[in-house]
Amino acid sequence: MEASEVLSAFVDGETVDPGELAAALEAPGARELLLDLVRLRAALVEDARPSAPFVDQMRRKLAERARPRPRMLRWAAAAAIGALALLGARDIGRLFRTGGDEPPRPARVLRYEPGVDWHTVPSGGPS
Amino acid sequence: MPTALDLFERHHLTVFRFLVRMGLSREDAEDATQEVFLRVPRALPAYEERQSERAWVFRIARNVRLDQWRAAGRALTPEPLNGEPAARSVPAAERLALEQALEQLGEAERESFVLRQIGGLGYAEIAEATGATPDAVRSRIHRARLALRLALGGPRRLGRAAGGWEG
Repeated sequence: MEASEVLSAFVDGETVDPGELAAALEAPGARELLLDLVRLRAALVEDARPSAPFVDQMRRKLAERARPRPRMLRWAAAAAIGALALLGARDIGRLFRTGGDEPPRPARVLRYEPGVDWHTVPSGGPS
Repeated sequence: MPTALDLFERHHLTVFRFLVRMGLSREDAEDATQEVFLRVPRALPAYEERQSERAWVFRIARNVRLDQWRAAGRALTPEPLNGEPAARSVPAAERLALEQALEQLGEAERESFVLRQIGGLGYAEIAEATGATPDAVRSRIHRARLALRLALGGPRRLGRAAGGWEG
């Protein structure tokens, strides 16, 4: 590292090798350079400030954004209702859905035994 | 995890000054500062505690500035330093020379130098914010300082001005 680079880093409070710093301080013109770097830093101090209305407005905006907003809650409720409606519609659809051209499956089969559940009666009616 | 308001309170002043020193007018710097802290809540989920908070905020500020720079076709007009208390303590000729020298620095040198000088970021933080290595940052700041020193007349003139910086 160059002597001037060591001094530049030293002025910035960065960690520098003590041996390198000692050598840099011994280099010709090191004293002037060090003083110039300090003066440059002082000359470039920036005091600009944003306007007070801007800062107030930003504080309000950011505080407002941090709060849960009623409008967002309304959207969340609407989304939940929509989701429930979709689920309901799907279940209703299942009730009416059939498997292609196949007839619907019987839910219950009734069997009647001749002689038990019914009797054959000769024509002319029972005697 | 900090909130956007916490980060605004801690960093808005240095972000604003960084943007002014990087060539934005006061008005543009306010707009850009607003954009930085409105982007913060969107970026917060990606924030990790181990990161430097300051470097993270300045990375956003840097991106906002680059976006504005591109949108403006790289034709931003630097704000003169006139009227600032710190600038008033420096003689007008030196102030003007300093401003011009800053403008003439390469983008990377100027950015690293201003992040150090105005933002107060360490070399490692600047590296984190800009994506460079700490060694590259150290070299950039060093080159910027030598260029500023040279532009101001070099060692002899600065030596003569030793008692004159305070006006």
